[in-house]
Amino acid sequence: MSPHTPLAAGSTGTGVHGVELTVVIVLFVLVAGLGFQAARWRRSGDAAAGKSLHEWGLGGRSFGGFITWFLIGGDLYTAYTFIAVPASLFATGALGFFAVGYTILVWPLVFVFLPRLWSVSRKHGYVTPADFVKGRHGSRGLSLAIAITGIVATMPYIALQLVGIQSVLYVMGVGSSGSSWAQDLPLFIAFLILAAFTYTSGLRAPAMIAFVKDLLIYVTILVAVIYIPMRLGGWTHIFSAAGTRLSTPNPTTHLPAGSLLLSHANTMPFATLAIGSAMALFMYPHAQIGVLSTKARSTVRRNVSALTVYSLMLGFVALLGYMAIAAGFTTKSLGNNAQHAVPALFDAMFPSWFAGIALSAIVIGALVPAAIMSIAAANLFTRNVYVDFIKPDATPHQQTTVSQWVSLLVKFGALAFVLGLDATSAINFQLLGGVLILQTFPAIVGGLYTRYFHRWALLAGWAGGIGYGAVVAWQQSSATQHHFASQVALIPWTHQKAYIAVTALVVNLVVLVVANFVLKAVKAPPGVDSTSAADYDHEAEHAEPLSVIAPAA
Amino acid sequence: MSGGSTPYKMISPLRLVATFCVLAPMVAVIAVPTYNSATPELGGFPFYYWYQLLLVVLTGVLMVAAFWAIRIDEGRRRQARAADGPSAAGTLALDQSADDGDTREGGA
Repeated sequence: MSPHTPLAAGSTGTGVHGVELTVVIVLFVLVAGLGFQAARWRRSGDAAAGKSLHEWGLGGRSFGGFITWFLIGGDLYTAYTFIAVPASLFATGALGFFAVGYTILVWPLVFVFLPRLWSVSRKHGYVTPADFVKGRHGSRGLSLAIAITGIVATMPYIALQLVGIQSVLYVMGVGSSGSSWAQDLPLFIAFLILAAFTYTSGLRAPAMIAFVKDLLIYVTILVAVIYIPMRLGGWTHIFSAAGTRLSTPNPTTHLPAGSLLLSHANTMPFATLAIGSAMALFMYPHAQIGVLSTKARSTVRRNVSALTVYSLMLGFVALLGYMAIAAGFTTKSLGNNAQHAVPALFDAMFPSWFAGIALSAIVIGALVPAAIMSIAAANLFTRNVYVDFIKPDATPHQQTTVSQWVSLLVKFGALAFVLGLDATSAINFQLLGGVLILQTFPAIVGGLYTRYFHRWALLAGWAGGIGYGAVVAWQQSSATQHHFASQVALIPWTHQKAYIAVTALVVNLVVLVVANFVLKAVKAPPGVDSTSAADYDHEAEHAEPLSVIAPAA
Repeated sequence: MSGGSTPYKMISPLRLVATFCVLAPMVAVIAVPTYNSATPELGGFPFYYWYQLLLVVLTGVLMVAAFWAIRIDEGRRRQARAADGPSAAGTLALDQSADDGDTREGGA
């Protein structure tokens, strides 16, 4: 391992990195300008339509393949992924690479079920997945459960985007100047601007900014995977340095931190983490919003293959964690926080102007998903709590206003979360969010294919899965943390560990089947299904009258 | 889209191709022991790492194949439906205009 002494200086934060900070500020201002500009982008000419929730919350459902690619990529590829996935390889080795398996599994799943969700949502004007659940199962209670799960799981996810910005600020020397007020001020300003343009432009803002964000990220990653290994003596050296470090026993626990390959005990956690995360991703309301905002059913499937480019990039991003090891960083030199590995690596390896661009990529990479997530959470609240339970006769305009205000509330809640609690709590809650959101899978994806399951059975399964998952996640402790210390836990009555969300889903399904049997036996009222079989293959509607054209030979 | 659900119950070779394209990456990822190995190395990458990155690329290719298989299959089904009666022909016009809109968008 080559001791790059100037590297460590970068992470002790003894001074503000002027050039990097300037580049980040310039790019941030540019992007904020775009965000406000986006309000007028691809606007529908109809003034009445312009005030509906479809406009603000789904960008007028007008997005084609090109924009969708960026928008869905914006969901998958958050600042937090940029920070946390490499940090996980940095700390534990091969297990952290589950993120690649997860993003491989996501696309076939998307290919299979999302076109059906798109069709039925388009046909019935559903804005949120909970809208679909209400229409399909005829149950406002189940829909409320789905909506609240979505909001609760999304909030800490937004908070984590802030954690990503924080670690960039830390590395630039802005976040470590002693006074906590000065430390948080840049973050506060960044979020104020984000909140303002989301309020005015709705989903159009992140869709437009996503172009800049992805451009910056692709340039950064391409340069990083070519330039950094050259400076560090090649991939062979990077992997051997990582292997040596990971297998060195920890002085307190006398156990190695991890390994370059999966240990036998880690095989099941790896597989379940990949499967569980893939199934959970498109249960998040912010991921579905990218799909529902497209204008044609084929857009999603057409895009899936192009979206795998993101997965490939993610694989290389993950390996930045090993590069940080090879560059001589230790958890200690990163201020006892592995999350700083990637920003610190960029800071140490790149000339300061390019480090500024790379760090901007992370900051702007936080803005896009944070905006989409807050819009998605706001749509859920408006449609499935406000309209369903508080003001059933709300006009489209009122719905949009409520959504706009809730999006602000959600973001400032996330900000308060990060400033009030520590970053570790945000991460813990996000892990818990993953466990919770997967429990909506049977009601949403199951509902796309069958109405065999009774609405109350789905609700019972949801409650069972969430109860089990929350308790088990809370019970996980380590030397440094009393609760939420791990995403994996022993499967009951075995010596095998697995991702808690997947075990909880099994509990969910068992409760679902048993409850379904009982409810059918007592002939509980099944509720009204307002969808029909043909709705799930429905294509786009057209304003212009359809002419009957003779089929081409 | 009346009658849209009936043809979906039929199995065609193209649908089987699409099903294979969708299932193959899933099976490959879940079969962890098949790739949890350091050798053979490629360009300094242990097998475990380069194989998974390669799998991402292969998944992309399989998704393209699945997209076209479904697309051609749906086109044939529409023709079969249109041949059954004039009432079903509207479906074709509708599908085509949706696709046209999407293509224009891609160039924007």
